[in-house]
Amino acid sequence: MQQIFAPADDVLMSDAGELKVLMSMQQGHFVELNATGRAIWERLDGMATLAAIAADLQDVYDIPPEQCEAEVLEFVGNLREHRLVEPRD
Amino acid sequence: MHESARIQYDMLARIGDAGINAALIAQLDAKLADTAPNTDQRQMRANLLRRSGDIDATRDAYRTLVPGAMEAHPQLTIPPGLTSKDGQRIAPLIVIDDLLPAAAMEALYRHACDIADRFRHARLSSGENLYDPDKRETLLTWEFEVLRQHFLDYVADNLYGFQDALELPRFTVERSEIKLTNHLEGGFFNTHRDNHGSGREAGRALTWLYYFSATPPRFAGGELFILDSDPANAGCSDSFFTKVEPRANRFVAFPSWFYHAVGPTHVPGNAFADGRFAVSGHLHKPADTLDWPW
Repeated sequence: MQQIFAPADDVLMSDAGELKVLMSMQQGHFVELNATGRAIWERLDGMATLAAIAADLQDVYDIPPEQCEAEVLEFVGNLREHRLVEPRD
Repeated sequence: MHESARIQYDMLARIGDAGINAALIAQLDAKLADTAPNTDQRQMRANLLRRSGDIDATRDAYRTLVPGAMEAHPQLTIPPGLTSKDGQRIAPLIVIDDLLPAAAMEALYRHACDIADRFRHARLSSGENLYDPDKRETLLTWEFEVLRQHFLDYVADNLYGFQDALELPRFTVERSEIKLTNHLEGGFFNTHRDNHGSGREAGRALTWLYYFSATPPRFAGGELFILDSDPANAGCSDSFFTKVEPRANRFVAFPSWFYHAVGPTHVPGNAFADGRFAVSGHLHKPADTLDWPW
């Protein structure tokens, strides 16, 4: 949870209406963001650790810490799989 | 419609959404503005365009990517021999808009409406040959007269051109299949392909369609989704495809081995005359020993 991630350089975003879509230029697959995903994505700024993001979301959405951390890890894992985020040191 | 098909169409509709793809293309163009575009980036742009159903822009994009093939065969929208990011073949595609004089299309439309009582629910050609509204909801008739011979002659006369453009071997035609279809409210055709065999086996080789309707059209949806496919291994992509809108007076042709689907059609009032009509045909080939790519 101490890892830091930032959007990959070649990620494209569409914010048409309620639907936010990410696409990696490398892979070309779409990833749609729901409200939670959107909230996590907006916090992946290359500075905040996953733990900090989970803590922030826990305050905003009033959900248990374990659930929040699990959701952040799963979502970021999915983004990594699609090469939409890159780790930062 | 089966729930799995509904989920797939929802996904295809979202991925193919013109607004989303336009936003992605704008971002891509902005990223490329300061760099010399490479083939991968141009391919990505073409992929977004073909997903969104912008046929003219797709053709322009491939003219830049594969100029030789496109100049030799102006009717091509997507040239042969391309693969998408997940390794599937992109279906080479011919799209010809404004194929017929307006009066001819109107005559065909009036004829189709006049023979409405001949249309029946289409059956599935695979399996038990049954009407299965979970997989297909199409009205169909094999019996029509107006322009029937014209289309048979048109496809026969242009066969070599189509084969060469699509880079298909010059197969001989054993039989030419032709029918009229109409999709009314909720009409669709689940993902399928028209030939499940190898290239050398006898079967359908070229699938073609000619769309027509009331003028102006009184339906929405009914898009043709041609999925990037692996014909040799019966596979297809779930996110890379070409969307073709069923625009009136549009002719479309592609190799029959590629998976495709007709998205749900919406016809307010559900009048037969307001549906999404098409002349639909297949060229059947005999078994041969030609050099097929699958």
